[in-house]
Amino acid sequence: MFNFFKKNWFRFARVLGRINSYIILALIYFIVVGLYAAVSRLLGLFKAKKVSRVSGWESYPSQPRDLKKLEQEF
Amino acid sequence: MKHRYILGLSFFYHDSAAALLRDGELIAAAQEERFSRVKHDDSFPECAIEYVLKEAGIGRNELSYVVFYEKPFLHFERIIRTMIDTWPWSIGAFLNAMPLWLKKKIWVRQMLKKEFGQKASILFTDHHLSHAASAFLCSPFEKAAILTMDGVGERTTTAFGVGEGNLIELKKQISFPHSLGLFYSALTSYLGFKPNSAEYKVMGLAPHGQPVYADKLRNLITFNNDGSYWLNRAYFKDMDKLDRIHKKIEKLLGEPAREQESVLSQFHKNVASSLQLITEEAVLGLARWVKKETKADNLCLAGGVALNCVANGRILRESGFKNIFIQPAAGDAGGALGAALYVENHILGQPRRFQMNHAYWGPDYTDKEIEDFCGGLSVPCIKLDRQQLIEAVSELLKENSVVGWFQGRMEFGPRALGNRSILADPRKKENWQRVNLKIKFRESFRPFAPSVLLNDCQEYFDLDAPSPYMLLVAQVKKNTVPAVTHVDNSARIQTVVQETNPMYHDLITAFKEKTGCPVLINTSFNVRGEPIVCSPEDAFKCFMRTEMDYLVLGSFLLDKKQMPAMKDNDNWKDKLVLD
Repeated sequence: MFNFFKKNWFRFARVLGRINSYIILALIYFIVVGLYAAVSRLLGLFKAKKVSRVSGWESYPSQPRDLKKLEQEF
Repeated sequence: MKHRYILGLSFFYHDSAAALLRDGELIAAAQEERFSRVKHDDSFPECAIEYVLKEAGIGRNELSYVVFYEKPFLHFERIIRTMIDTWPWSIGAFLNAMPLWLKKKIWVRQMLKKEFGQKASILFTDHHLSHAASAFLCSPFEKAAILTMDGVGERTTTAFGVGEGNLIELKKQISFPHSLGLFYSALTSYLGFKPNSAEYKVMGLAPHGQPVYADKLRNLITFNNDGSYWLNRAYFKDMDKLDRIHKKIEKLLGEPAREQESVLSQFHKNVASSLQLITEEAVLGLARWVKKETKADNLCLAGGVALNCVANGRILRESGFKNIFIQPAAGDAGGALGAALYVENHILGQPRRFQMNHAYWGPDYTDKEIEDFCGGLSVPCIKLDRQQLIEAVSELLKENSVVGWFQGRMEFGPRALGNRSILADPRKKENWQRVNLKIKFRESFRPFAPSVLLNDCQEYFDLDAPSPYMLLVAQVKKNTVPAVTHVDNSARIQTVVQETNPMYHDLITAFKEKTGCPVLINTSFNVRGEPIVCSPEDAFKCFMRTEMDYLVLGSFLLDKKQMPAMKDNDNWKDKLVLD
C-alpha cells in the first residue's frame, strides 16, 4: 500500500517538477533575457552602423601551447 | 614502462565517439551508435569507452588525459546570444534547450571527473581545432593547409590554417550564423529529409535534377572574392526554427516544403541539384582561397561538409592542390580522435607517431566467438579456410548473390569499407534497385558505391588519386559497371589495396579473375535507419530480416535457404528512426 502511494507520489512530483521548470524558465526568458535583449537593442540604436564588409573571414583566436588553457571550458 | 594514454571523446551533439591513443599511436576508435544501435547516438559514449579501454587492456585509472572535443561554455554562450538576438521568438527553442543544457551539457567536467576519477586530467579543445587535428595530425603530410567546414562548433563554422610537423595553427574563421553546413541542412530539411543526418541523400538526389533553381538559391548566400561567404540573415535569422526558414524558402521557390516520406517530384530533384551546385561552388571558392593564402601543395579537410564527396572530387580536380587527405570519420565522431591528437602532438609537443592509412579501428570477433554465437542459435554454418572462403564468395557474387560480408575490425566513420559491407555484382544494373528496395529498404534513387582495386581504378574511373575512405567522386569511364554508375555517370569510389585490407583485396581479385571485373558493389551492412552492424548478432539479425542471400561471419558461411525462420522478427522496422 505504502509503495503504491510512494510510486504515484513520485510520478506526480516528476510531472509537477517539469511544469515548474517550464514556468520558471519562461519567467527567466521573458524577464531576465527580455530585459537584456531590450537594453542591448536600445544600445545598438546608438552604435555606428557597420560599414559593409568585403570579407567574412575573422581572425581565429590564438592557440597557445598551454595545458592550463585546455583545462578551461571556455 | 609507463605508457601515456589519452582518451578523446565527442558527445552531446551528434555521433558520440571515443578514441584512445597510447604514446601517440591510435589503439581503437568507435562511435557509440554501433553499440547502442541508435543511429547518430549523441549520448555519453559509455560503450565506446568500455570498448577502447578493453582493446588497450587498461582500466579507467590508467588514463593520463581525457579530452573533450569542444568548449561547452563557449557553445552555451553562443546559444544564449542567439536566443537574445531573436527574443521573443526564441521562446520555444529556449524552453526546449535549457533543461538539457542546465541538467547535462554544461556539466561535462563534473561528469568526466565522476567517470574517470581525479587522476586523469580533464581537458577541452576547440571544436574546429579538434577537426583540424583529426585531419592533419594523422595525415601523411609533413606540411599542409587545413580547411574545416561544418554546421557550427562553439561559434566557428569554417576555418583554415596550416599544419607543420606536430603543430597546427588555424588562422581565419567564419562565424555563426554564416554556415555552409547549416545552409545545406536547412535545405535538406526543406526537401523532407532529416537535417544533420540525411545530407548525403540530397547529394545522391542531386544528379537526378538540373540546377534550375541555382540563381534563386543565390539569394540565400553571398560569395566574396576571398572565398568567404555570408548567409542572408533575412532567411536564416532563426536558425533553430526550421519551419520559419521553410516558409521563407517556400516564398522564394514557389513550392511548399516536402513532407517526409512523400513523393519526390522533379522540383525536389532540381532543388537538390541547385543546392549541390552552390555548395560545390562555395567549397571550391574556399579551397582556392586557402591555396592562395597558404601556397601549400597538400590540403587536409575535416568537418561534416568534408563528407560531401562530390565537392571533394572537385577540390581535387580544380583547386590547385596536388594532394588531399580526408580522414574517414571527418564529422563530429572524428573530433574525438582530433582532440586526443591535438593534446598529444600540439600541446605536449610529442612527435607525430601515427599516420592513418586505414579505417579499421573498431571491435573484431574471433572465429571462436562467432562459432559460439552460431552454435547458440543452432543455425547451420560452414567453416572454410581463407582460400576456400574467397573462392566460394567470389563465385556466389559472380552468380549474382548478395552477400553480407563481416570481417575483422569494424570501420571508424560513416562508411563501410569492406569489413561491415553488403556486396553484390556491379555488372548487373538490376542490382541497383534490388539491393536498394529488397535489402536496404531505402529510396530507389540512392546510388551504390564501388570498391575497386587501386591498380585498376584508372581503367574504370577518372580518378588518379587513391580514395581509401570512399570520400571522392569521379566519372565512370566504362559502361560495364552500371549498378555503381549514377545517373550523371559518376561514382563514389573506394580504392582497395592489399596492405590495408588483404582479405577484401583478395576477394575482389578473385572476383576479377572469374569475371574480368575488379569492382564490387559495396554498401554498408545495415538497413535504412539502422547504424552499421557491429557484432555477429547485429549482422545475423540484419541478414535474416532482409533478402540477402548469404552471410559471411569471419570464416563462416551462412546460406539463407538453410536458415530457420526468425522468431523476433515482428515490427522491427517500427523501432528504426528514418532519416
